[in-house]
Amino acid sequence: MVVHILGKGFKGKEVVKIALASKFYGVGQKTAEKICSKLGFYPWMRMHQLNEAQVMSITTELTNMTIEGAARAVVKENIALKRRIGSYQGMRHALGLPVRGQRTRNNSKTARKLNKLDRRGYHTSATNQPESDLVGNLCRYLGIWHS
Amino acid sequence: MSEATTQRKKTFKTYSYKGVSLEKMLEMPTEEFVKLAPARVRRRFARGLSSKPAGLMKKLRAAKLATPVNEKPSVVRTHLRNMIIVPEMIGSVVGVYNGKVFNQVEIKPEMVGHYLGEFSITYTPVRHGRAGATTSRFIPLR
Repeated sequence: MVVHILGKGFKGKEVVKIALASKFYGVGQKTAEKICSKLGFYPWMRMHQLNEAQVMSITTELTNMTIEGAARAVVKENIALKRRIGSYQGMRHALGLPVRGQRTRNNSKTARKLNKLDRRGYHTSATNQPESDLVGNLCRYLGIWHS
Repeated sequence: MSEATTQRKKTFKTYSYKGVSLEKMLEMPTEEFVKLAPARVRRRFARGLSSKPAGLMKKLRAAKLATPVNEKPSVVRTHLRNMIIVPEMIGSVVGVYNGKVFNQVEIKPEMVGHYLGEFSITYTPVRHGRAGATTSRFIPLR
């Protein structure tokens, strides 16, 4: 049984708070727990136990928060601000290098992957985007490794 | 969604620091600003500045007073890279020493709360695969 929340499918056996945290960018364990307790779900409630009204209440709860694209935009804007004022941190983002003084003799793989002016999001981006985006992302990945 | 974006654009145009608009911030004394600032800045000011930055502030004020209308104030050079930018410094031009030269930095409102040193890089960023030219020399031979 699949439950759909904001266009994302959830397996019935998934625990609600964990599922929310793992599928939505901008919703972590804490926020998911908060949502669940606010709506009066018991902690280990699973997706298939939700009724229509409860699914709707989760949806309304989530639409009032900054998640997904909006949350990513916030991160991007913060980076763009640093770049705009010409600070050291902004420059390190532009170069794709560690921002907080880590060493760069080796490794710094995460920074090379993530520190961009147009930063991509974390885990949820690849799995939940429509297919065309997924192909684009894949190309970007390949581009990174080729260059 | 669209409302949110328009709101953001508005705030972008009239910059505000933690809910305080730019005009208010410009009038704000440093003590007031410190209360708004993050912990690092608060700690710095709580532990007290030495007499060093006083000279810089004096020069900045003098430079601002001496400038004609609609022109940038003259550059004030300093070695104080660890000086925190306070609202009073907005608009002035500071030459921040990077160990070799004085990099000119025009203080924007967004820079408030950062260190002067953040805007004057101390090294040349590495560039790979260009300077050596060992491989490129062989291309015409081919």
